[in-house]
Amino acid sequence: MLTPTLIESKLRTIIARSLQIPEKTVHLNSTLMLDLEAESIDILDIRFIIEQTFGFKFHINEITNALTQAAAEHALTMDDIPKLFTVQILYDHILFRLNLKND
Amino acid sequence: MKQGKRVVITGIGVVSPYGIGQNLFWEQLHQGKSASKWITSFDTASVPTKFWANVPETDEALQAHLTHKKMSKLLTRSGKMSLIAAKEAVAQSGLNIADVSPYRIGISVGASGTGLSDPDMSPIGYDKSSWLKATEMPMTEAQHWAILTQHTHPLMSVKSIPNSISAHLSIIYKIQGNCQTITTACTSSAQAIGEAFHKIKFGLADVMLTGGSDSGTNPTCMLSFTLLGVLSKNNEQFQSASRPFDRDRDGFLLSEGAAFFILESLEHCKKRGGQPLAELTAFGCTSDAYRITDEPDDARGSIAAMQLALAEAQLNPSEISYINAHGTSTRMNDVIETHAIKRVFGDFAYKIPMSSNKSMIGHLVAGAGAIELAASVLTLQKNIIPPTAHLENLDADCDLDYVPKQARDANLKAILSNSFGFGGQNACLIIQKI
Repeated sequence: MLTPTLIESKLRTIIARSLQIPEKTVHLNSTLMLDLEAESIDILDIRFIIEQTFGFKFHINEITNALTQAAAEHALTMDDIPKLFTVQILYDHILFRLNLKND
Repeated sequence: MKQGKRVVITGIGVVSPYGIGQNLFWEQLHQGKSASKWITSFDTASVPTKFWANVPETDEALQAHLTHKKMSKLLTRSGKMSLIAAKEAVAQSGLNIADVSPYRIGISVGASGTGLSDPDMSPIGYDKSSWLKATEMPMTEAQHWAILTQHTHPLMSVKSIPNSISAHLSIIYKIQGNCQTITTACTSSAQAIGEAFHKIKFGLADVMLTGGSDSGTNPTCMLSFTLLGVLSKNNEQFQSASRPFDRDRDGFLLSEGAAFFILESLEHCKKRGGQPLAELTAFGCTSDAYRITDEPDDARGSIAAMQLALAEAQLNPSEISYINAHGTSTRMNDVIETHAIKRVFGDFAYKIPMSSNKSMIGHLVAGAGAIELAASVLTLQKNIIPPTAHLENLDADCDLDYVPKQARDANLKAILSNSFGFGGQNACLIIQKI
């Protein structure tokens, strides 16, 4: 049975393995591209492993559209998007897709 | 008067079927130790050849040697071995790459066309169980492609690009000059090294990181060579199956590994206080323009490549003190290479010792030329000729001095290393003591 706690744990493992960093350095408020130094292909890898692990398919646009909208709401520019792309964003999206929480 | 700058080798790095490092490589090689091993990684019941010469380290063990861990998911097995070998070469050279003008140092790598034969590159590899489950159900072509799309890793294309190794080396070492990849089958890495040599010789670079690798020890690659009928099937004597120039040989030993070098102009080496290991003095390169896998009986392409190399080095045939043969342990190669050497060296052919490293480490395919050049540099330094191991009974058409079974002491001054490949490619390198 997938619980939010188990999902968070699995997500942190996925990210740590993909980026070859210790799991303890991955937090929900870590930014993927700034704090964890992920590059574009890392995001593709993480997305793929999330799909295989949780059994749903998603396009990265589902994330970037939300980030663009959030940037606009906070009067930020496109350059600020990396500051908004946190582990929490992915976590929330997984919960949403699994109907465990509304986005 | 020789044209161009003098080029020296100042660092060597090796990952061989014996394991990691040039010391282990030389220790085993000059003693004639076979690296052939029984295959245990997959069920060989339906495969005629049940042995190969894999690098003993697992993927995880290779990964532990990488400095840039995150890169591992983008590297095939040969990519990982390349980075390890390059690290050893850079360390031995004592060169601080940051001290070289970034556009005066380049990279030249010999690699196979793609890494798609690696088990981890298979489209079904990521989630084999669900793929197999899905394929048991009747499906339309559209459904078939939908499943492939769903289970194929999105990084497959970037992982399999032929220039993956040179690109990663460029990123790691901040090398911004000419960064090239050569894929010419079994001559790939010899040709890559030759091209790097010419870049320095003709003033286009001061330093080159060069070499090559391949990893054929996987079911897909083994199947492809099996279907061509070029692998030995001597399972009963798998450790001595690779026996070039022997009347009883029946094909080559598939293997894997990597070898890399730091090449620099002698002038650059002296200026920074570097220590040359050998001088690279010639690169002869030709194409047979004949057939994809057959060599012409008159050996015209390999003869011309050796002659071009001798001319560039400005050496007479009698000045070559040892030939590191291509020596695959296939009848066609062994006989035609022998014929070519007789044509190039005349009566002196009978006086030059030659041997085949492949008798011990097998055939690294795209990496063969590089690891055999590494062996040649060590041979030149140690004044010990590694043997053609397991050579018991000479083929009737092979009557030269192949240094059978036992290594031999010799006063070596110049070594010719031959590489010939599918597609009719021929690449010959000459190194000399400095």
